[in-house]
Amino acid sequence: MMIGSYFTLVMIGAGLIGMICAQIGFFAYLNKRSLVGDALAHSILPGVVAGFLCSLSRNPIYLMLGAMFSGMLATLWMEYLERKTRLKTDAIIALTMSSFSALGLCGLSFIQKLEAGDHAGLGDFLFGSIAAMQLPDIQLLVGVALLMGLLFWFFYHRFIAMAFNKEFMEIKGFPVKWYGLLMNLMLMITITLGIQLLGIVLISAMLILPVVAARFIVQSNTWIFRVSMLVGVTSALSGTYISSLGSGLPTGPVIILTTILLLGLMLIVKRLMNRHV
Amino acid sequence: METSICVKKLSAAYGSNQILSDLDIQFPVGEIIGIIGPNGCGKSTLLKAMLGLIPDVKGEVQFFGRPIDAQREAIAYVPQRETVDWDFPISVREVVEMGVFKPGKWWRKKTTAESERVQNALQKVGMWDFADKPIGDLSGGQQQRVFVARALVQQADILLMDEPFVGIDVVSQDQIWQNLHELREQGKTILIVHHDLQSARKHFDRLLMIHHGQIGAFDKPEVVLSKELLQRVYSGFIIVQE
Repeated sequence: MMIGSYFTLVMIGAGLIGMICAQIGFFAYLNKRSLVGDALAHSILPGVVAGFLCSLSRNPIYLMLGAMFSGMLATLWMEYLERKTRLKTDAIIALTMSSFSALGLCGLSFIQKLEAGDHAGLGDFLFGSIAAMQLPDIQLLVGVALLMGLLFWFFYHRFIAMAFNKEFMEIKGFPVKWYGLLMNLMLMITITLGIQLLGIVLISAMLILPVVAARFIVQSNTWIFRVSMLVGVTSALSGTYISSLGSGLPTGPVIILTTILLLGLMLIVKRLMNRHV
Repeated sequence: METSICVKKLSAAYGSNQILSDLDIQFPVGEIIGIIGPNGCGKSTLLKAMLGLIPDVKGEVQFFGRPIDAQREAIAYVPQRETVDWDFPISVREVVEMGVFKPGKWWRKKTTAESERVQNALQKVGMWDFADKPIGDLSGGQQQRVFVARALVQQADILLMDEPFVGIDVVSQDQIWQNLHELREQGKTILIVHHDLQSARKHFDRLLMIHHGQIGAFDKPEVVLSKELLQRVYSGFIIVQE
C-alpha cells in the first residue's frame, strides 16, 4: 500500500513536470531561446551544490534558491557578453554552459566524498531518478504548476505578442524587460524542479521536444500549446512508469525516448494527413 | 504650422559608431512625410531613436508637446519586414488584436467593440477573408496589409512605418496607399522610411532627406528631389530623371 501511494505521488509529480516543461518550453521555443534552456540547466548545477552545502540536506527550497542564484548569474553573464563582446549567441551559450557545469561537477564530486549530511541521490541530478522525488518536491511542484497556470491564463496572449513582435509591445509601453525576466525566472524554476526527474543532461530535451512534436501536426499557437502539454505529460507519465518497472533504466533517458517516439508518431500522422489533402 | 513631432538635438549611436548627430526637426500635423537617403544613412535609426528603441540616444523627442511615455497611445509603428519572423505560429486576427492590447489591465478580456475594430481594420485593408490564416501562409504584400490593419486598430494620431513597400506586390502597395491617404484626410501624421525615389515624388507631401546622419533637406518633394541635391547626396550612384 505504501509503495502504491508513493508511486501515485511520483506519477503526479512526473505529470506536473511534463506539463510545466512543455508550457515554458513552448515559450522558450517561440522566443528562440531553446538553447538558453540547455545553458541554464547546466549552469544551475553549482547553485544546487551550494544549496546543498548550506543546508547539508536535499531540502528543495535550499536547492531551488541556490539554483536560482547561479541561474541568474549565468543569465546576467550571458547578457553581459552579448552586450560587451562581438561573440555570437551560440558561442556565448557554449562558454557559459561548459564553465558552469565544470564548476558544478567538481562541487558534486566534492559533496559525494563528504561524510556529513544526507547526500544520497545528489548524483541523480545528472540523469534523473524517481527516487529523487520526495513529498516536499511534489508539494512545491503543485504550487509552481498552479502559479504558472494562473500566469499563462492571464498573460498568454501578451506572452505570444511579446515573442512575435517585442519592439511593437515596447512602443505600446509594455514592460518588455520584466516579461523577459519573468520568463527566465519561470524557466529556471521549471528546470530546477525538472532535473530531479530528468537530469541536467536531458532536461532541455523535455522543454523543446513536445513543442517540436506539436508543431508537426497543428498550426495555431493555442493548439501547439495544448498538444505540447499533452505530449509532455504523456511521455513523462509513461517514461516514469517504464523506468519504475525495475529494469534499472534511468528515468530521464526513458522519458526522452518516449517523447521521441511520440514525435515520430506525429511525423507519421503528418505524412498521412498530407497524403489525404 | 502645427507640429506633431518635435525632435531636438537628437543623436544616436550603435556602440562607437555615430549614426545620427544633432538633428532638429519639426514634423507638421496631417501630412504624409517620407524619410529618404542612401543606404546606411540613418533613416531607420531615426525612427527607432524617436521611439526610444535604441539605447544610445541623446536629445529630446516630443509627440504633440509631450514625451513618448505620455503619448504611447497616440503612436502606431509598422516595423521593417525583415525584422519579423514570418514562420511564427500566429493568425492574422491575432496579429491585428495586438493593436488593442493595453499595458496594465491584464485581467481584462477583449470586448465586443474591440473585436469589431479588428474586423473593421481587416476589412479596410482587404484581408478580412484571411483572418484565421497563419500569417506565414500569406504573400509579402498581404502580410504588410495585416500590419497596416494592426496600426489602424490602434487609432493612433501618428503612424511610423519602416520601409513598408519593400518587396511587396502592386495591388498591396495601392491598397496601403489608399489607406494612408484616408488617414491623412482624418488629420493623422504619417512618417515613412522609403527607399524608392521615383514613387517618393508621387506620394509624399514632404520629404526628409538624411545624409551622413544629418538633415540633407526637409521640404516639398520637388525641392528635395532636385537634380543637384540628389547627385550630391547619392554621389552619382543614381540616374536622375526630371
